Amino acid sequence: MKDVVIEVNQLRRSYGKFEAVRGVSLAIRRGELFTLLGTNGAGKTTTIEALEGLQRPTSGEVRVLGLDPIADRSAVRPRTGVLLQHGGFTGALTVRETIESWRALTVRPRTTRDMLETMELADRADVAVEQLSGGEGRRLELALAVMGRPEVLFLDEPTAGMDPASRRRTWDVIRELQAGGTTILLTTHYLEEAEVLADRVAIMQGGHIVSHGTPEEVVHTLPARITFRLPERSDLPDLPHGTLSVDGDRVAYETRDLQGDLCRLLDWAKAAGVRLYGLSARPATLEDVFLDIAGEHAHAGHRLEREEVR
Amino acid sequence: MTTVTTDRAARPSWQMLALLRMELLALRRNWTATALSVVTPLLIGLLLTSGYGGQAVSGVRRVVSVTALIVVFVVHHHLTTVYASRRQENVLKRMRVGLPSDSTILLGTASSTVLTFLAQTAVLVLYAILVLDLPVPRHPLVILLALLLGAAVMAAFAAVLSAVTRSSEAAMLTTLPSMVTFLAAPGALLPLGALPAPIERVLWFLPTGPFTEMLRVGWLGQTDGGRALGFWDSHLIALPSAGVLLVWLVISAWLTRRFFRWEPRQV
Repeated sequence: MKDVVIEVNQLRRSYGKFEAVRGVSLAIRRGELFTLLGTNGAGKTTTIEALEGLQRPTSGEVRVLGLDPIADRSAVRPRTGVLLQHGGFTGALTVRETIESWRALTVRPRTTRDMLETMELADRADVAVEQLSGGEGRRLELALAVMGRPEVLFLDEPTAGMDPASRRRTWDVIRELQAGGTTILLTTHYLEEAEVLADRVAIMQGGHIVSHGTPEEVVHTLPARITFRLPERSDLPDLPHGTLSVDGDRVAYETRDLQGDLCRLLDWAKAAGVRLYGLSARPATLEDVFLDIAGEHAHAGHRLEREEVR
Repeated sequence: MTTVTTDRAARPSWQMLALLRMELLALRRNWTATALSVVTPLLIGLLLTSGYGGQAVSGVRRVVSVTALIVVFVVHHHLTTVYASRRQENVLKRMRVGLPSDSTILLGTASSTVLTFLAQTAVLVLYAILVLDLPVPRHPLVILLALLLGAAVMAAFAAVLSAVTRSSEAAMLTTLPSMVTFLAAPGALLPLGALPAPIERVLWFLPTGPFTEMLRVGWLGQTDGGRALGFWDSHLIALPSAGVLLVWLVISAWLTRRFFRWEPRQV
């Protein structure tokens, strides 16, 4: 694999007795937008903080642009941008002062005006950051993260707590950066975000990557679903690739061949003169995969990661 | 690819200035903190020295003792609360994902507090000379060295103690033992000779012991026993004190490296 810019090899990280990350490996190519999906405590933040150089791996190896983010800190930092899960501001400073302070600490920074406009914060420029709404604060954080036109961008839950408008704005900014060739690693527990943005996703659970690939590939690990309301006649057909389940008045087929099975079902309905009310046929979504995995690992759900404890 | 290092943002001195500017902006906005760390110690210092007009030796000793009080309260206690609150606000953690190195972040965060202390001392010295009619300091270099070393040791211990401090309120408690200890040195809170000599000899080794001795020698150009010292003797006699402060600096810097916390303590 050529031009891998983010590399994680058998990463493990423990906090005392608790092992937050248990052997994670990743390879992210230049220009890719990779999403780590998972619930709280899955190990996403620990993984991304190891790449940011904030957490020292207990074992295993991480590389960013071929460099060690801790040992080669001064060489890595000018080329990366980081949005922390809980970023920090000195609350009394205004938005403009915060941007200007950070500009002084950034190599070849974008202009204050550019940042204010890109993040739609121009009318809030002279407001103290402690008075910003959650979404505005997050956008200011994002402004600081992208100020140095980084080659590699780490975004830890960039849209957590945002209203829909802020979220769209943030997605637009992320897409622009992606189009400009920035390599982006993003964590989220919003499935929609991963589906909309990601080139590839990995789903984390209990410190492991339990599924990974393009969103389509990941979704293909689960069958598609055909559902409709239970008709009067209940001699439902057998579909060659589907398994039938009836829940109250709701009929569901899970199928590996959506088109073929749907065709057969419709042929049967036509021949039998049955009307299928509330008919819907759709491939699995990332959400289905996610719930499926969460269900399988439900026993692991009580584990805590620091992000939950704050 | 490596040309970035020539950018000013990559220079520690520039980064330090940026951090100083940020801290000063925050100080300007936060009047409670300003009053507490800048105005109050100075007012108390002026009050405590006001009764010593014209008394060269005891007056200078008093001013030096007040300087020790201020360095302990401002650069130790107050800076502990600054480190703790910057950490709890996640500001330190965010700095760490940027260009400045760990030591630049630590020094930059301390810079406004140390500058405050130096300014307070300057005002106090001017007040002593102009209003109290005390002698002009003989050896400014010795004084300056004492102020810088003393402030550095106090700042490093502030960084260490911030690790166990969750908030400004908690700092009252966490820095109480160290404040009392630092003030116990002869010539700090208690006047010289207030305690039995053997005890004073031991307590002298606390950082504020050599710190205050250097200030007295540098100011008066004579030993505490009253022996007049020439230019070179005044500097020579300050060397052991500077040495002890350096040892304290190494110890406190090592403790900082070992125990400093960059991430918020969970409540």
